Amino acid sequence: MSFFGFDPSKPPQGGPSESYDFENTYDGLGDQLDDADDALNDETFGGSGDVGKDFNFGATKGAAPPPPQTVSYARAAVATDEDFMSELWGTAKPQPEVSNPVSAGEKKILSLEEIEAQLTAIDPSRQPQQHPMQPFPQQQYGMPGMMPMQYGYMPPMYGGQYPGMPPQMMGQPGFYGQMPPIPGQIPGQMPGQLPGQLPGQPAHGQQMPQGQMPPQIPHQIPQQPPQQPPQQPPQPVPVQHQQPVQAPSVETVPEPVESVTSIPTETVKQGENTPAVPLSEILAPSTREEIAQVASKKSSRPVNLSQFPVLGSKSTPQQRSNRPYHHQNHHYNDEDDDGEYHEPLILTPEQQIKAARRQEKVMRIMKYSGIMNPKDKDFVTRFQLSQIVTEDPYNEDFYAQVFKVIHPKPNQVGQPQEQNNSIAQAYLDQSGHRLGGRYKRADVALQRMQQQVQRAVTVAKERPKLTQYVREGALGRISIGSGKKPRQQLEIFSQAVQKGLEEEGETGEGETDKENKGINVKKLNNAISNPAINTNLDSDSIKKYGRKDIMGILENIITNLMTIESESRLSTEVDTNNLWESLKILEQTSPRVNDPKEVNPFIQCLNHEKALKIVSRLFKFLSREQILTIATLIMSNLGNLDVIKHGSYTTYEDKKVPSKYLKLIETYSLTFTKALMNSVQDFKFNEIIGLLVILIEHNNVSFISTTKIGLSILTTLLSRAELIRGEGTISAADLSEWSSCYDELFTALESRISLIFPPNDVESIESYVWQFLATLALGGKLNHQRIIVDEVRDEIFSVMNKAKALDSTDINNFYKKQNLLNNLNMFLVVMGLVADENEIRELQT
Amino acid sequence: MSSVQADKQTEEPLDLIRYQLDETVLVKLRGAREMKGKLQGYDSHCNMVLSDAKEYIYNETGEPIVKDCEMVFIRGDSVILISPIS
Repeated sequence: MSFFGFDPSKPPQGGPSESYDFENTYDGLGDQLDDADDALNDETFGGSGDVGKDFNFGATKGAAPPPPQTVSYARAAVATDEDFMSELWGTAKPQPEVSNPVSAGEKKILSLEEIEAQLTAIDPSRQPQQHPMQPFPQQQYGMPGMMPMQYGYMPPMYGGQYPGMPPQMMGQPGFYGQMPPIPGQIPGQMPGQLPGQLPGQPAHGQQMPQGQMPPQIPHQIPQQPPQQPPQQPPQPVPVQHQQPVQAPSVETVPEPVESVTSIPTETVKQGENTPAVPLSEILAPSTREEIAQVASKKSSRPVNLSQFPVLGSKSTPQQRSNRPYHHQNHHYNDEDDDGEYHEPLILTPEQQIKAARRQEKVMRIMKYSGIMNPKDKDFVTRFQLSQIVTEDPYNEDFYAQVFKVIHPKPNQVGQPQEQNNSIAQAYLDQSGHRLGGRYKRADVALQRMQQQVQRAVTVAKERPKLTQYVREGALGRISIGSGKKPRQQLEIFSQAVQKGLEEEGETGEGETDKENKGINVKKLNNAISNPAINTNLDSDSIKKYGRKDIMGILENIITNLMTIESESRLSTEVDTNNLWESLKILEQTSPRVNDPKEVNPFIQCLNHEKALKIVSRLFKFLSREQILTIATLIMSNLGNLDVIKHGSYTTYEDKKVPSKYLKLIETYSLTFTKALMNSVQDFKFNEIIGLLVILIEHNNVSFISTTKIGLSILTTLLSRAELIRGEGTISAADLSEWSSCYDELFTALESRISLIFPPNDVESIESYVWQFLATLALGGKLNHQRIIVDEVRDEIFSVMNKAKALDSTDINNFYKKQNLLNNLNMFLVVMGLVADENEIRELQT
Repeated sequence: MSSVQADKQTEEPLDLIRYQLDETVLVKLRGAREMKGKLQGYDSHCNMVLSDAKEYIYNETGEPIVKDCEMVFIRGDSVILISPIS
């Protein structure tokens, strides 16, 4: 959209093809200008010598050349189109007097800092106007360097149609190919010239700087990016113009076209200006300042648009003007108001110094602005956010929580009303200030930022964690610790020690645990009507079972079992009561006791191989309820089993389980685990949940997970629960119970998952760990899976590396390798991934 | 070793051997010999079958001769004592 009704997005009609005759397009405004106030130019433009920096103004003898700079806005736009220019040259007369072949080279050398310093020295008086507007140019500023240059193409034709512009354009051709003027030479040609006259005096020497620009543009374009920072201060001006002149819509109706066309224009202009630094560049600020001031003065009254004859004839009048247009607009204004034009520039030295300081400050601030483009910023932000993503930010913000505890609201203690207030306050705290209150209006920006952060967090959350983990190595290891897991977890070894201490030293809790246990047993097993449970539990004499006792009980069990087995061969009806009682399941159920000898005898029996060997035979004669009771007992007493107690590598200094227990563990997995697995098939969903809950409540889950047997028991229960869940016949209540149970389990395991890998498992042939991980991941949601993957990432890679290291030409190694990868994939497939020795891919279905 | 017997059953001496079934035991034999192995079975004559057994034959030179037997029958009349090895 364009202000004057032409459509900037259209291809330039008539631009290159037509040529313009100055007399046709020029409306003679220049002739109306009043030269009377030119006497003040000395003061205005440094003739007075108080500028502080000598940049050849002295040489110009006070002849003020700002207008040329004004011209350069449009000129810049024109400049890119060489075709157009050559057309123009054909119709324009050369301006021989102005040629200054010498200066181009040396002037280019001016460093940015120098230019900047000069700008600073000149600008001070107009500072106040610039500052408010700076945000705008900054916003757009990142773009010019990235803009394709052809955008600069658009403005020329507008300029051509524009009353103020044609004269300069026509003046240009004459200078084509000529070198920039030496500043010192200019003064002679300048005297008496009025800024306002410029447009009207195409042949004048002051236009020279622009005249030489077009040919140089192509070479200078690459230089543009570095030039941008110094230019930012001047830049606000054009934008500023827009606002007064153009009604409020400038900001609210940001047309893509507008920015696209306008920004390159300026960029191009800068490029052009470089060679002619002393003149055009140095003057630029002042000129713009003037323009700004003029414009702001006039802001109250509308621009006299009617004076632009040509525009709008081709397109709809509603269209808004684009930015280049405004520049031209301003030129026009300059001409119009020539009289008032210089006054604001005269400031006291103090003001100037002050303004200069300010300007310098701004320069410092802006020195690095624009270094990062929006994408960079975005990247950094996302990166930072990815570190702090959490499900529950308010509750997981450690510092906020601690702060709340340390500084409780003083009024919380008092009346109920104040309690309500604090509740409301807490609610506001949690939901942000958007809901209202005094902050509501104040922080639109803050709010926007919050929303943005929220969005970013959402995106970060949804992104599968695996991409981050694949990206590993980019900037070192990416720790994707959630808010839940900010730091290295506690070492688990102390837990095992603690466990031992508990067994030695704990006295008080035994009774309560026993009672809980009794309740659990009752709850889980309605079929057990044996009143002995409670009477036994309540009896204050805790029996101790010595080895001989246990052996006796065990032999008794075996004898009973053999009796029943032989009976069962004769009749289908067998009385198993004897056997059940000999098991002494309900004898003493406390999972935590002072003395290992006080542990339930059946559990103690399970430390002996011969007991394990009969378990599956035993289960044949027990009812489902009885087996469930046994399972319950075992779950609550897992920590008391030798295979668990001594089966964790973490309790040994060399991280190896002694062979004595390894043998027992082996027997366990061959006998007991199998029997349990079979019997679990008969358990109902809520029974499995109950077993898991008991297991979690009565044991140190993370310790148990470091033992093979514990892990396989967990796997058994979890996988069975998953299977039942997969059947889809679970009630909602059960499901929610399940998920809370799973969460509890996961919380207990979280941050210690990697410890389930026995460190000395050189061959990595143990599949049970991967089985467990697969089951765990299967039951978990996406965020659970992310945590798991994150924690066992090293193991995944080490398996892959091991597989890679194996020479697959050897047939044995080949199988070993396959075995390794199969185990790994058991886990990865759950998450839709598959690994070979080289990489992890998504599972192709 | 044993403290409170949970339920007093009628015990007989050979029960002590019974309890060691499927456990590793040390059997001291006449002729300066010992056998260590897992007790697979016994009878009232203290005839025993051990599996994964090691036989230690002591002589005056000091170091015993060790012999491995996968399964061995020990005749009861040479048994001096039977002891569990924890």
